[in-house]
Amino acid sequence: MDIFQMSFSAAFLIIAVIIIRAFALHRLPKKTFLVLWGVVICRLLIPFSIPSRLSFYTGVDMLRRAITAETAYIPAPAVLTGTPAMEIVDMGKLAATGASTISISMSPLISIWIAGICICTIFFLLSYIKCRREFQTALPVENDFINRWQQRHPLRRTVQIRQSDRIKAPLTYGVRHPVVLLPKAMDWTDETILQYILTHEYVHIRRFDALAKLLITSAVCIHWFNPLVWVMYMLANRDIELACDESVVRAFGDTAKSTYALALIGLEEKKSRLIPLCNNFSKIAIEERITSIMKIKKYSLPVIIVAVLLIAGVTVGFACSKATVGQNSYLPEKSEELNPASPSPASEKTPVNDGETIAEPASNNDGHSSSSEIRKVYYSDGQHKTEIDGVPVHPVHCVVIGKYYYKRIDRETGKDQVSFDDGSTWLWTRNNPKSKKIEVSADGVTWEDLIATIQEPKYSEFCNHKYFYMRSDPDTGQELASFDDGVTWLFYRENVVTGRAEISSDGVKWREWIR
Amino acid sequence: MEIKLFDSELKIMDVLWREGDTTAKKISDILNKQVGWNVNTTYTLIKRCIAKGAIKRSEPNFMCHALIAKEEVQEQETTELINKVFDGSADLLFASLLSRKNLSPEEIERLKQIVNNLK
Repeated sequence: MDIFQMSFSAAFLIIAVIIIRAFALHRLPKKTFLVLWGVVICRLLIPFSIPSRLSFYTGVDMLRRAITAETAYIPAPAVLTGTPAMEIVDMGKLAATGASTISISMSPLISIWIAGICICTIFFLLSYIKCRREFQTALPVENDFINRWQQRHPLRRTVQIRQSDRIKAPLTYGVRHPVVLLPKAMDWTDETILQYILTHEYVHIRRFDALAKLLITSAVCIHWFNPLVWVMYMLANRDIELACDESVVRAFGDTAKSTYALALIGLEEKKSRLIPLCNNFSKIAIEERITSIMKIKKYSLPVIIVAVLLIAGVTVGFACSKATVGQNSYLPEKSEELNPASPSPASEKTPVNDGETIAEPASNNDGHSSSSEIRKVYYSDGQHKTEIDGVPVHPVHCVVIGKYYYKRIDRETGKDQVSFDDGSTWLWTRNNPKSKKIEVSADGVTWEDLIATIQEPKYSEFCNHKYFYMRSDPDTGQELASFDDGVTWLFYRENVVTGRAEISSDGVKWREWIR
Repeated sequence: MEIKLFDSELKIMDVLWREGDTTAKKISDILNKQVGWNVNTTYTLIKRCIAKGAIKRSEPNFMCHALIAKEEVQEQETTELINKVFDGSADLLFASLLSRKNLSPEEIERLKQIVNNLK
C-alpha cells in the first residue's frame, strides 16, 4: 500500500467519523470518538490492512466492476456473463484501480511529499521546543491544598505541579515525567476549582493524552497533503478534551457540571483577552465544550451497545481494505470460463464462479484462506514490464481475448496510450461514450474498436498464458501448487525479499519458479 | 529605565541580590536545589536577563552582576499593580490589603500606622 492509497482510504474513514460525530457527539460516551480517532490513526500510520468482505471498499469495488462490465463490454460474448470484462493487473505493485493513475507519475510527488513531511515536522518540533523551554522555567508551587491533594492522588509516575506567569490556562506536558503547569494569575484560594483543574490534568496524565497528541501530530506530518487529516487533527484534539471533561464531571457528580463549566469559561476569558487572533476556532471549540459538559448524562446500556457497534461497524466498513484478487501477488488471475479449451479436472471439484474468484485472494498472502479448496490460477510468464523507456506502464489483461497489452500515460499529452507489442508502437486510446467501447487510434483521427483491433493477427501473442492449481494444506495451512492437473503437489510460497514465487518438493529447499 | 522581568527571571535576580555577584555555575547550582531547574534553563534565563539589561556579565567564569536593585523592582511592580488594578490610587491598594482576612492583627496595625504617618 502506498501512502496516497493509505491517505485516500483514511479520508473516507475520517468523513465517516465526522458524520457520526456531528450526529451523536452529545449522545454517545465521548470515549467512542477517541476510539474512532484511534482507528483513523492506525489506518494512517500502519501501512497494511486486514481485508474484509464487509468492507465499504469491497462494495465499491464490486459496484465498479459491475459498472465496467455493463458499460464497456456490451458486445462481449456469452462466456463473459458476470465477469469483469477487463482487469487491470499491476504486476509490480498491488494497485487498487482507483489509485493506479496516481501511482503512475509518482517519483516527483514522492519528493514533494517527503519535503512536506520535513517542513511539518520541523514546524511542530520547533514550536514544541520553544514552549517546552518556556515551561521549564516554571516555579514550584507552595500551596497547602495542592500538596494535600497530590498526596491523596498518587500516580505511578511522579507528577510535578508548578506555576508560571507566562501561561494563562492550566496545562500538562511530558509523557514520562508529566508536569502540571498552573497559571500564576489564577485564584489559588478557590479549592473547588483547583480540585477540578487538578483532576482534569490528572485524567490527561493517566490516559497518556500527551502521547495520543504526539501520534495525531505525526499523522498530520505524514499526511500533510490531506486536508481531512488536518480536520481530524483539530477534532481529535477537541475530543480528547471533551472525553477528559466527561471523566471529571463523572468523578464529581452531576452537580459539578455548572461550576466546572463556569470555571472553564473563566479561564477562557483570561486566555482570549490576550490572544485576539485565532479566536474564532477556539470560540467554536469552547462553545462545543461547554454544551457538551452541560449535556453529560449517564449512558444507558443500549447507548453503550450502539457505541460499540458503531466502532465495530466503522472499523470493519472503512478501516479494512477491500477483499480482492491477488492484492499482494504478481500472479494475475483469470476466470476459468474464458479458457474453455484447457482441461481442468481439479477445478471441477470446486467449480470457481467468476464473482467468487474476484472477491477471493489468489494467494494465501492475506492469510485468511485455510480450506483445502483447489483454485485454478493463471499466470503470465512473469516477463511483464512495468516500465518501458523510463515511462511506467501497466500490463492490462483483456479478459475478452485472454491477452495482455500495455497501458501508459503519454508524457507530453497526458493522454492514455496502449501498446500491443512490447512497447515499440503506441496507440492512442479512449473510451467512446456513445458506443461504450474502448477505442484505439494510431493517428488520433480515425478510431477503431479495441477488441476488433486486438484480435487482428498482427498483434502476435507475446504473452503466453498457462495455468496451475493451488490449494492450501488443511493441516499446515501451507500453500500447495500443482502443475499437472492435481497429480503431484509442490510447496509454494512467495519470497518476501525478491517478490518472486518459489516452489519446493520437500518444503526445505526452495527454488525460484521462473519458466 | 523600565525593565519588565518575569517570575523566573526575578528568581535569578533574587539569587544575585541575596548572594552578591555570583558565577553562572553557582546560580545554576543554587536554583537547581531551590526550584529544580536544570543548567540549561538557568543559563537561558541568565541570558535573557543580560539581554534585558538586568545583569552584566564579566569574565572569568561568567560572573554575573545585578544592574538593578531589588527596591527598584519592588517599586516598579507596586506602581504597576496600583496602576493596573487600583486605578492609580494607593489608597485603594491599602483598603484592599486591610480587608484581607489573612493579615495578622499586628500587620494590620503596622499598615494603619504607615497610613497615619503618610497623612
